[in-house]
Amino acid sequence: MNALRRFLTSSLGQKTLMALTGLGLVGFLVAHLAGNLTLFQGAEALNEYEHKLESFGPLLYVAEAGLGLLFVVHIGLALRVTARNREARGVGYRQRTHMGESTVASRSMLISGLVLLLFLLVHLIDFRVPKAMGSDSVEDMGVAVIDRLTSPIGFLIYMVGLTAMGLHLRHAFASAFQTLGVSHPRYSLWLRNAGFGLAVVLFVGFASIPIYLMFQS
Amino acid sequence: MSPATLDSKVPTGVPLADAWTRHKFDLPLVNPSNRRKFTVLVVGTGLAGSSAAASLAEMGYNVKAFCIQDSPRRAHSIAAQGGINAAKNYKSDGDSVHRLFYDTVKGGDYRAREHNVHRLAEASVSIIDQCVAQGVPFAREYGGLLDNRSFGGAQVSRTFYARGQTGQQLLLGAYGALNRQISAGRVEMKTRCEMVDVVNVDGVARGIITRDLQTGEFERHAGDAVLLCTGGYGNVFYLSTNAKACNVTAAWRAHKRGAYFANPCYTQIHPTCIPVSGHYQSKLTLMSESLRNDGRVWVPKTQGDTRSPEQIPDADRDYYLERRYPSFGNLVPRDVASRNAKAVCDDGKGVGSTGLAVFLDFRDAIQRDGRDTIAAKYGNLFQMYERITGEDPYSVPMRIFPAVHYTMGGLWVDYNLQSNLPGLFVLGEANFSDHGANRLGASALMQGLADGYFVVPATITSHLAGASMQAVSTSDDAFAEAEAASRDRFQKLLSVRGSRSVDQFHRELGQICWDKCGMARNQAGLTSALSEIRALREAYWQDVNVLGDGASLNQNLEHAGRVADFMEFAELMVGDALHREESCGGHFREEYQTEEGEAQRNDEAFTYAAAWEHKGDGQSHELHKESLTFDNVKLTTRSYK
Amino acid sequence: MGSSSTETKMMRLNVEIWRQAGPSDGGGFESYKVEASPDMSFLEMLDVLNEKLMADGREGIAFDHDCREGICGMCSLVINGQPHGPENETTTCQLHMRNYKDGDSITIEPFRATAFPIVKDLVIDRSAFDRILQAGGYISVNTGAAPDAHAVQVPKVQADLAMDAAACIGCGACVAACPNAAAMLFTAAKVSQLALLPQGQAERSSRAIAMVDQMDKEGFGACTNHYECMAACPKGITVENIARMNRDHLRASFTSRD
Repeated sequence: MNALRRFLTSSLGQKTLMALTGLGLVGFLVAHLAGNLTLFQGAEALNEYEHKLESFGPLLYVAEAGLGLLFVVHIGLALRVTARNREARGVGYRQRTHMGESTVASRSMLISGLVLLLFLLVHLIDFRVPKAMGSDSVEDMGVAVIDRLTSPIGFLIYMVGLTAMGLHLRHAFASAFQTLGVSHPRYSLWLRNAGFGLAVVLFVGFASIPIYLMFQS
Repeated sequence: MSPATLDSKVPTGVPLADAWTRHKFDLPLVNPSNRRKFTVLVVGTGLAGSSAAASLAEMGYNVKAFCIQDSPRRAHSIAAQGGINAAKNYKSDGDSVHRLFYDTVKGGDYRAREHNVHRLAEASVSIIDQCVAQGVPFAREYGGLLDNRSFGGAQVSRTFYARGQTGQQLLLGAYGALNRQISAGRVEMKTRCEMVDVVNVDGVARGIITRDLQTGEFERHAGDAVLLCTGGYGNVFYLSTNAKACNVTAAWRAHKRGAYFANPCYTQIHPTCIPVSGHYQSKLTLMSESLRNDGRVWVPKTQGDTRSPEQIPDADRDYYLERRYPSFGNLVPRDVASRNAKAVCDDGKGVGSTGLAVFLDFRDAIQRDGRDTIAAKYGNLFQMYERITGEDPYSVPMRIFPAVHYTMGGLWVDYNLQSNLPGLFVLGEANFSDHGANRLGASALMQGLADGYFVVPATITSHLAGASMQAVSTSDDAFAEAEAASRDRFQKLLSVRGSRSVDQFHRELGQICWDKCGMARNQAGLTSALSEIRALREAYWQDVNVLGDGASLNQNLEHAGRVADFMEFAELMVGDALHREESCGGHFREEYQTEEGEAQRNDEAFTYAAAWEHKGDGQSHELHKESLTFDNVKLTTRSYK
Repeated sequence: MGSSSTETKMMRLNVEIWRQAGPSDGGGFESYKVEASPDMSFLEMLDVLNEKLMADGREGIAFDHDCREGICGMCSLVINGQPHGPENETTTCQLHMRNYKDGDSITIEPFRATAFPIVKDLVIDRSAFDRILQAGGYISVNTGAAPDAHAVQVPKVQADLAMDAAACIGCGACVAACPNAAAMLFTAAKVSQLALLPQGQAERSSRAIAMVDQMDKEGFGACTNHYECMAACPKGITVENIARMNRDHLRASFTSRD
């Protein structure tokens, strides 16, 4: 069998891909947060940042396609692996006591992931789709974003999405390294804490924006 | 079929040290392309079975292997803790093949066959090489070389070990080798499958009948040789350190088909086990012998002393081993330590709620070396003790009592490990050959692997190459007869529907054997045991209650079949003990002891292996003697004073 | 006499046990009452219950067990939601009833996994484990072909780590505990043991790939790193071994020339 195909169809290969795409998405989140933080300087700053991105021209589309691919692969494999895992258990237990490092976060990866996916769709419909259709309403992206985030419904959706992201990352970051085989008793605890820290930083970072904006208005 | 005298087939006219090499040269060979024409049936997959099946398959034979567990890896060899002896002399402390040979013959109280023991000592060296190459993670020193420790009955460090799980690691090594051959299609492995009979065609063992434990189906398997690697019969005592499924069935069925059973009265009682706590007790747990290095064994001086042990002052304690054996103290051999524990308990000084235990006290060791040192040495054992008894051995002395551990007797085999029944080979604990009347620590693993890796693969040709083997078919009448007999036996067990459970009968049998054929035996007790066993056996077939059917997994039926065989076997064991009017090793006849109460051999009359021939149900066994000669070791009386 | 002879008080327990007549039977829970002494092992409690059932003319509960000293790996059972019960690093056969008190309810289920089909009641078929090891869990060395044991030195640290991994008893508690019924800890323990030793290097790549391949074929799930396997393992095998296997598998998949 072709070695690559065998790798990609094996459970470990698929988990490896999930870990790599997941880490890629973490990178995207960090960059996204950096961009969003420009809102602390007002709508104009965000627009400026956006124009700068647009100035990359076709390169931006390539980047966006890559990002999309990360999402598709990550989500596709997640669904596939989850289905396989359900099947592997078969009949479930009547009683179950969780042990080890099983946490709410680790057990709800599928749910937090699906919530994140929903949020992503809402997010895209809000900002990316209209822009692609050339709609006028997003001429001023900064103002549009501020409008969204400070409306009660928008704020709520945003916070739900962020909570899902935080939960997801809480387990995902250290888990990805374990899957990639990065493990040493000396550093494992450090990695787990880093995963927790990252989840907190991203959650606080993203959440600080609408809260700041609401105080502003 | 029964020869008048037993021919051990040891090479003659060759010095002992060259005998095995010479014998291997003299054995006929089967050329590689002919090996695939032979099928070897291997029953049991412990150390002996797994290693034999793997080695024979590597050589090119077709192998079919059988085990009663759900995986070959679960055979009871896995439970051996201490280690495996080998005359590597890596410690440069004067060890040699000859010294290992000498220690083993002496440890066996001069009732083993010299040639077999010497071969065992020779093979020990290659076993370690083989196991290391397989990836067995033996303990290492900081320099990366193998570590050794010392064990009972030896004055050199020759025991290789893998923490307290040496048996497990060696078995997993052999199981790996077996797996490799299964994967290569050279071994057909049948699990949860019990051998229930041996099939002889024209006086040669040519097959077996098995019962699939999951479906209840009986199957016929034909082959050119049958290897029994089915372990010992310690569970005839019901309570022992053996696994629950250990049984004598395969050996007993072969015996009833003509194979002689040798020295069944040689049973080993291990002195340091956790005592029985109640009538529900299902097995006994061994605590490593190494505990006696630092623990002191004692009982209260007066009977009925109800004070808790820490309140009994030294003046009121009897450190009986130190008192009686000042030079060896608490480190006397297993049989001596066990007998003395029994003696003080018989004297009414035993401790614990049952009065059947003695103290093993670490108070002084903890005071001398500190708790941490003791914990580093024995921490895991203390933890296991606490888990089972609920007591903390750091503050309260352990309670220990002897328990049945190993059986030196087994099917009689010659130097080729072939029984008197041509085509039937017997390996490991199932045969009688290497340990005489008492086995030294760390020698069982050595024997199982020597037999399987190095002896049988060489000697099997004596049978395969010699005779012109006729093809045999499972539709032969002999197969049909054996299968029908097996079906009948199980059907009969199912149809009794009496009032007592298999377990009740098994416990009762065990109690008789333990009381009358255990650590100490005498004529009156053995004679009464014989009639008690016969009566119990009769009651068994009238009143045993086996529920369910034979067409699916039925653990109760499996057990019932094994107990039925134990019922018959027990009579032979007791009969052998009655016939051997001397004390040697694990066989202690109260009538034959020195004034100090030590075992007294009778070399003039009993320097032989007693091989018993089955003459038919209800008939008495016929005794065949293989006289033992000791040309290389001088017979002396063991003394540990 | 002696300190231990605390009067053993019998306790009454309500046990709910999965009964299933055969592989294709539906199965369900049945309730029993049983009296047990705190000094009994868990399996002895089941022995007592079986004796009672059989005296009443009912078939005993089938459960796997053999050595009863925690090394053969034959015993199993999920007890109140935990494989091998509540005690840390303890197999069911070494679990004692003093962990329970009068009036307790105990639910006993078989290890659950599609790859471990039920044979009867609490007895399961774990031959999938054997097949994983047959795929490559060994070092290919014929009998008699080995060099002297001291030909290769193995640093003590490596030997100890290999022994840690080799302590696996193949009971399947890791699969039972895993939310995905994955056999990663089991497979990784063997891959790891042999990868840590110099003797295992020749087949290191092919072994990792073949064993993972077989593990997938058997229908076990994939690891999602909850480490419940490690908590349930009666021998304390760590998930560091899983990382080591992942590493080997990844490397082998992209660099091996087999």
